[in-house]
Amino acid sequence: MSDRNRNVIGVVVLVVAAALLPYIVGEYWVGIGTEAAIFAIVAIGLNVLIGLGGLVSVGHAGLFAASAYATSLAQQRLDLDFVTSGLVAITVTLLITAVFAVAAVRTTGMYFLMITLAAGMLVWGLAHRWSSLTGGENGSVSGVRPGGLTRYYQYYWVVLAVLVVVALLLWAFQRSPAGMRVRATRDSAARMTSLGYSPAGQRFVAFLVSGAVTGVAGVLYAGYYPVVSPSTAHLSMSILFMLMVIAGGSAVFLGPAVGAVVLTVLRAAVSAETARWATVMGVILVAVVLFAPEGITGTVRDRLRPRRDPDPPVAVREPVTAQGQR
Amino acid sequence: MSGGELLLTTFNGLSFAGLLFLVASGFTLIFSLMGVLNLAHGTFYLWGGYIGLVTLAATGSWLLALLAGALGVALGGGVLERLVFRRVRGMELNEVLLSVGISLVLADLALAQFGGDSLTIAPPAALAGSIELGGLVVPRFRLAVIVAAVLVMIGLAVLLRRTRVGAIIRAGVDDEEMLDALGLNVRRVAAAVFVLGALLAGASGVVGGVFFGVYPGADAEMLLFALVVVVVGGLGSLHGAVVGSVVVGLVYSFGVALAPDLLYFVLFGPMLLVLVVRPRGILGGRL
Repeated sequence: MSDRNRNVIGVVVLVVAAALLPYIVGEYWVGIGTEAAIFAIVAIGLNVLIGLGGLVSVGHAGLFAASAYATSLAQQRLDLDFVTSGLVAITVTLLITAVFAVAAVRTTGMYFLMITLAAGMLVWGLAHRWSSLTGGENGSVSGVRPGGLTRYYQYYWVVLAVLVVVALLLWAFQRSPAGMRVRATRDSAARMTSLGYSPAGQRFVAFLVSGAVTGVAGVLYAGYYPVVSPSTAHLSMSILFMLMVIAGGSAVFLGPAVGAVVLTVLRAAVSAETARWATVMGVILVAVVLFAPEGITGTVRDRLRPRRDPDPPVAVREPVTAQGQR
Repeated sequence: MSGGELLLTTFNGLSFAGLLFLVASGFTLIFSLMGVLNLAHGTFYLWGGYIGLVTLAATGSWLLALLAGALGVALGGGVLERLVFRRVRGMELNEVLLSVGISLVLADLALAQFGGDSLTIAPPAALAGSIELGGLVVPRFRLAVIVAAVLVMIGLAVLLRRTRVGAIIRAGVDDEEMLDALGLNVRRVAAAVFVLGALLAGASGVVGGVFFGVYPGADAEMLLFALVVVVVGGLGSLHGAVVGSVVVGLVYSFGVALAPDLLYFVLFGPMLLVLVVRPRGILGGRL
């Protein structure tokens, strides 16, 4: 059996097992499963930037929260149903993503990270301070679910189905000419320029795709959680998303999803015992960087499958230095 | 806004700019030499505040509190540099991620130790109260912060431009390998700069504690301000930090007075504008 077939079968088995979850565990853990699936959508969306584009964004909680707030506000203020408000929210998120992207795509490395960080915090600041719109610290009421699918296990299936569809679409994007151009820009922006492509343009496309997927997750989150609060947009949330990608392994397509599931379950388990989740998260981040920079899936893959090629081709990458430095 | 209010808001903005410069100069210094974007800088600031607070309560001496805050954080920064950052030297992304992990842990430990309330540091007795300055009544402490920031600025400029150590630092920014080949211990210089940056962060934490109090979340806010300052002014440039601090300080001060609801927007508007027009900041470049 080829590697490819084995991978496909493995993923199908995983999806079926995930779909059976409500028959095995109770409401609480199905809730955690719903959250994990939502975060998995964010993580694979964020990986379009981190893995495919080589651009680390620490501002995705801003996009996620913007979408969740937009969903909630469209439902509360405009009295829209789930699907319509979701479409409105995704459109709003795409616009905000475009603003983020315009500010960030001319840079790479540290500058990109710093700009996305600041942009994400801007959303947090607005959610926090603009209380006439967002409800300030109290947050905005959400929790509207699609008609006929309001029970907790039904909603879990909805989220799971969306995750599968998003993953398939991103897989297709990754292999499309547009996805290839994003990857090529990561590997050598100079060569892309000499071929007549704009590196900033390719990064812009990657950012928009990533933002759209994050927007979808934000809509689902608004349906899952009864209230959208500023903490959704907080820096620690952006760091959590980034950690999911890196801990899961950004070089493997479903690695970030694995990271999302592991960290969400871990967070639920740790939070039940102690209030020191942030410490645990920080220690995990340090440990991953120092000891497993390829992430969970990358490390496992390297162990399971010793490289057939004794002298593997080294990816030629331009050194990622902050622009303006040296 | 009357003439008096205008002057007072400007003064407040400048004094805040002084604090911002103290924070951002260390941040930009570390970046320019080591290429480390130290996202734990805000947490260094926070711990400086807490150490100062504890020392003040124990000894009653404000000067000791300032020293303890600065030196305590400098020591902690030195240890972290030695144990953690040195292991991933040269790998920029890993360095940033490590600093994020460290800041998460340190901020959480501070929360566990000191709780979630905002604790205020009283200004030193000699700088309490107000003083009349050309018809404008201003708090002495804020005036002192402006003076201190100018002194630190001059000190750093002299250190970088006029001393042998400064020459080594600048040479390290330009060509680290050459410096290494000349037999200078670049690692030690880099570590010293890191400690100096941490020292400034710790000291500004004590000063900031008088301005805003010390509370969980102050770390992220101050980091954010420092980021905006260096993005506006230009990362890795001391002049840039000065320009950025003044711009952000004034924008913040007028933002609070005129449109508190949209404060963040007012703050980020100029930043986004600078990024689109000049991605490297107004004075982006070298030290």
